[in-house]
Amino acid sequence: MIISFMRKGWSLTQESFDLLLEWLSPDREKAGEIYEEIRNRLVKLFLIRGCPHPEILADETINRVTSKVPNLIREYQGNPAYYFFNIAGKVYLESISPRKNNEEQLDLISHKKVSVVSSEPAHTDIKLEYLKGCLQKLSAEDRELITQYFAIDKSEKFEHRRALSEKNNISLNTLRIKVMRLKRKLHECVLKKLKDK
Amino acid sequence: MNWESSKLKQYLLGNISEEERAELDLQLLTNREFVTAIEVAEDELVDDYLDESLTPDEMVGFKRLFLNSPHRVEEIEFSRQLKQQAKHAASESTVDQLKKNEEINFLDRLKNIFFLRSAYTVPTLAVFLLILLGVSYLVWQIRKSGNKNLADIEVAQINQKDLSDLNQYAALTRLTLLSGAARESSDLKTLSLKTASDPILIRLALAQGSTSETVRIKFDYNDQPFLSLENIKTYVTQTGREVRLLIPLARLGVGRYKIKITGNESNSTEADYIFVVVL
Repeated sequence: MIISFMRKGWSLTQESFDLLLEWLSPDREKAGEIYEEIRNRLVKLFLIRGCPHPEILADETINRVTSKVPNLIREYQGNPAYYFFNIAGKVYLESISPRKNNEEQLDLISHKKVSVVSSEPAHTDIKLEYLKGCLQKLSAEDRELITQYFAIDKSEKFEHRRALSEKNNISLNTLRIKVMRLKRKLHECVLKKLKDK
Repeated sequence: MNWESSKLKQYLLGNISEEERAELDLQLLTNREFVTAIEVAEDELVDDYLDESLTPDEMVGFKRLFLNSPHRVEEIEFSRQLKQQAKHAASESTVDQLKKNEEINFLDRLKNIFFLRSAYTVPTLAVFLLILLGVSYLVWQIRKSGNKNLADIEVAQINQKDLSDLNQYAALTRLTLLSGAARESSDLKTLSLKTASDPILIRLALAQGSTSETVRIKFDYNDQPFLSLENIKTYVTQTGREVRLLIPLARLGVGRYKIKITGNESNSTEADYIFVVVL
């Protein structure tokens, strides 16, 4: 169903990709960075919209924009991100029609308790071991920060985290951003170890 | 720009109007600060889910948009493991501390040291004296620097080095900025936290004809005062003069920085420089 609405009769070539990069920036290295950033944000956009295959939809958006670049490079003025946004909107709308059938099926089981589906116990144990290893790779200060941040939960966590931010002489928002970055770093570390295994 | 965390939460749960959602979707593609804010909001939402503190309405949105996505489910599982590990580590730390308290009677030890009954007396007193001298020096520095905070003092001290020979700093990430940097976002200089060195070297070209040997520098971060430096030396280059700054990477966060330079002479003009920090 995902593939059914995707563009037919056009395929991404090296030449068209090079032209896309040129449109994004005359500096090729910078163009590559902008491309990655736009793609990551498109994936995030489709993920937030609840699409189960955000990478596919992001790539479809990029393919459609790339097919238009020969005209855009002559005529379009302004931030390319706005054009990607418009195309992403269309790709999203086209993708949701088949999903409505799936959502109807979800409604039938919505009364059931939905819990996070864990992977097999052995796999979970491995991930936990990797997480412990990745935590040790952090500096002592960072490890202490993220450990303390998540040590208290539920109703007490807000005051606990506020106290933690004051202890570290930073605002609560800065603390949240620091913890978010550390968490991303840890997650990437665990995923890398799983991939290497 | 600030976004209310409650608004971002409802955006993530799909509980806002189509018009508001389109507006925030556009921010996601065009505004770096918004991306950071959303990532923080996602983490907070997952944390609330794991604490079972979402309202019934919020659970409906969470099940539809988070538990329906394999990618999100994997992230939630990771978050759950991290929380478990953090609690375990924190409780181990508390147990260790309690054990130490039972083993050592601190006051007795202190008495032994100060009444010269212990072999640790001399080294302990020596350490105590060193700490006292260190604190006194720090207090003197703070008083000397007026209202400056410790972080500013640290950066000021780092920049007392002579940066004439750039070859010594060849390995550092360099950010070279011109004043009145282009307003188009694609022309903005960016710095990546992931790949930058620590510290980074910022070079600010002064306006042609500038003769200031020292300047005052003010950094704004996301339009808020961030760092202030006085009497920063300028260096002569082939094209005029420039300022060179070493900035610890840990001082920087994702967002937009504006640097304002003022010469120390009464008739000197200001110059603005802008750069953006990304992940």
